[in-house]
Amino acid sequence: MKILQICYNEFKEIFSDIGIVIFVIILPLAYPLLYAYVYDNEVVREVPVVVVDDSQTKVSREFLRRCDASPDIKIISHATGMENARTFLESMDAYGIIRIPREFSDDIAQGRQTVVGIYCDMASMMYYKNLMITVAVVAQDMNKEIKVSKLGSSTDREAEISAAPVTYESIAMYNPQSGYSSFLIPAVLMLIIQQSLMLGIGMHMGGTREQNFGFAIPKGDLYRNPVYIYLGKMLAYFIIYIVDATYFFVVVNKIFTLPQMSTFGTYLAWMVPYLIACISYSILFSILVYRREDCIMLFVFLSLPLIFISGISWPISEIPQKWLYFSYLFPSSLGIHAYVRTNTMGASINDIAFYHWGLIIQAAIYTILSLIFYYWQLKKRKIEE
Amino acid sequence: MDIKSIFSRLKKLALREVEISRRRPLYLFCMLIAPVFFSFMFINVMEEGAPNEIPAAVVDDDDSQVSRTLLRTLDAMQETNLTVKYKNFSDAKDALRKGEVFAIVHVPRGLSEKALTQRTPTIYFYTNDAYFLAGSFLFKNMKVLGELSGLAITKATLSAKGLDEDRIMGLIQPITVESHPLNNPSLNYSIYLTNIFIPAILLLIVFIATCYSIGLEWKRGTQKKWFKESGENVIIALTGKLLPQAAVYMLMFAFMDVYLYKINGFPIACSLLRLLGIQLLVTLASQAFSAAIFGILAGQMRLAMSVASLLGVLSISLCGFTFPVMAMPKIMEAISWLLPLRHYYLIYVNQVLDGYPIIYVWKSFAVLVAILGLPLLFIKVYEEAFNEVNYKA
Repeated sequence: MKILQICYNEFKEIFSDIGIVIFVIILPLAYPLLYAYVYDNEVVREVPVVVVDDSQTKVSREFLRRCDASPDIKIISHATGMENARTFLESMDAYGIIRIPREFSDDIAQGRQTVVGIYCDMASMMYYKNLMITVAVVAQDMNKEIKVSKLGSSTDREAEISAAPVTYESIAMYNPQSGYSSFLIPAVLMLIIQQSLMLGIGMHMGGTREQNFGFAIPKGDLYRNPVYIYLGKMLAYFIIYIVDATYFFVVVNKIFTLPQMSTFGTYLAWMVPYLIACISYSILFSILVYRREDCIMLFVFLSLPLIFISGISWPISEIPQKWLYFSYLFPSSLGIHAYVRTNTMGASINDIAFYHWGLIIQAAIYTILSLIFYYWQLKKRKIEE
Repeated sequence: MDIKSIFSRLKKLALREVEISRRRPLYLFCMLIAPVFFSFMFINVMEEGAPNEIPAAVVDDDDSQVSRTLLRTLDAMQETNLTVKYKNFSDAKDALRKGEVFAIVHVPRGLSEKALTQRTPTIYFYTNDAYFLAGSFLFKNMKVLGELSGLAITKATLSAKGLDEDRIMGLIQPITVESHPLNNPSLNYSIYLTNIFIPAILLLIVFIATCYSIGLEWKRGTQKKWFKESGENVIIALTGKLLPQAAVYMLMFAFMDVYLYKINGFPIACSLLRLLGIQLLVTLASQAFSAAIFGILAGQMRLAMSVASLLGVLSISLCGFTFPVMAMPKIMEAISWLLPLRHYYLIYVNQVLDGYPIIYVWKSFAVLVAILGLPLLFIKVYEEAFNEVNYKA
């Protein structure tokens, strides 16, 4: 009963404080939409490039026409030479140069290998990826045609047979478009849960301390048992966040047609320990917050390192062991993978046993530490009294 | 007010600021310890520069000499680690789903037979693109392998017929592509990411800390005293408060520059001094931007900090170094023009990465200088706030 009473008080405090409401309700509602909007295009198209065509022949023009026809790059100008082409990169009007050598057509006609050069500004890897893949694919296609036309005229049937190539097919699993938002948004969603909880609970703690001369627990007979205080607070935030999490699963994924391979049951199976871990972790680290606004100062800038160390971008297989262990301190490192693997990749709860158990263990450890914190606060207060 | 008294006031305010921050371990943690720690973390985690041990699975249903040659070629490539072999495809797919491997190379049964009887066999490459970077790297390797596998078989038969190397290559691969990633030839990811990540974190801290430190005056009810010491001049008050902080940020930037460009040998196409000058400008602009936010939302510390956080975090996406701004909705492109980090990124590319003539980024410098003047628009608001507004939660 006391637990429910405390929970009710928590709710009252949360909803009467617009600062906390912004963090625990408005931020989780609006931020995913903002991010999904920013990355709405999923892929980069029509990267501007210039060409230097020293060959100026039918074949070279055909080569460039095909490059231009691809959706990934766009030829914006023909430069007179490399010097001239470079000025386009300098002024950022173009991000790459395709250079066709003078002997291009002669080489092909006489059966010699010829080299097309691509020069790319490395301001963003995306430019490089687009330019490289486009030119490589065009070269590959034209090679095939040249080969066929040459061998076709040959009477040597054996040569023709031996030239039969092995073809290959690339299949991008789980993210068929290789889209940026399909990759980033799931990670952002999970980070939002953890970070907004840190901000909300942190601000709540700051407020409590401001009103209670630095104590983390309000006065009154209700607040005597650390277990009750913990459970009451946990319950309040858990109810709010189970709604936020459901919103992510049901609304955000649908609106932005993000991959959704998981059932709601699987989602909840690891989301419940994830929420408990995040809430307890936030309660624990709210120790550092003495003023309401401290939480913003302390926690916001952690988002970037946290998303990096989770191994969603820089591959987890490449993260040194010690940093991997360090990353396990944060629920987000496990939650992001649990979400991506179940929801984007269709893994079952058994497939993510490591992350599932990791989250349960985190939840247990942070719960115990939070209880110790409350116990210590209560003791301190008794001495003061 | 003459110059001398301005200086003496600034000095007094600066000393006052030092005193305030000395008593706030929170400041020190966010401004000094965190940036150093994260610089160390980024550099250390990406020490290898390019990912070279991403595990990929192999399912060789053909199990012939031809298929084994192909797979050896892929394994020899730097970024792939074909340690994991699976007996059948469904096991490999399980491993992909569990995240044990990031790609599968599937050689179906009958590859060598088909290859030798002109029936064009197909090799299948599956990459896990839920992990963007791992997927992209492996995709690139697989593409190269796809090319090589076709070549390898043809080459063997043609050379058996007595054709020399040049003739063969001219026949089966007339057009080759040579790529030159300018100024980062090894496609080093650490150089690509760390150069922007660390300043981005620092500038985010500048955004938030500026609002925080200004707001704290109202919160502690010391704003009137602060205003009085400045001679009731908003600009002197803000300058006196923010300059000592800027000095700390510059110390952090100097540390970062030495750590990245001197100790870790990251390439830099301009002088360190010039880079520090750019960083000074962008730091001051970020402070001015944040002070302007506080001005717009006069006296509302929490709201100002929230807006500063929102824009600061958004800056990291909108600066455009991971996903280019040109592929974003037009509104976002417009907003990016207002953000100091976006201009730092553009100037960084022009000066540090490429070493191009600085004139090409004059617009970015102009915007940064204009941002410096932004707080001037809110002098009146500040004055009123100093005199009337009390702290509001």
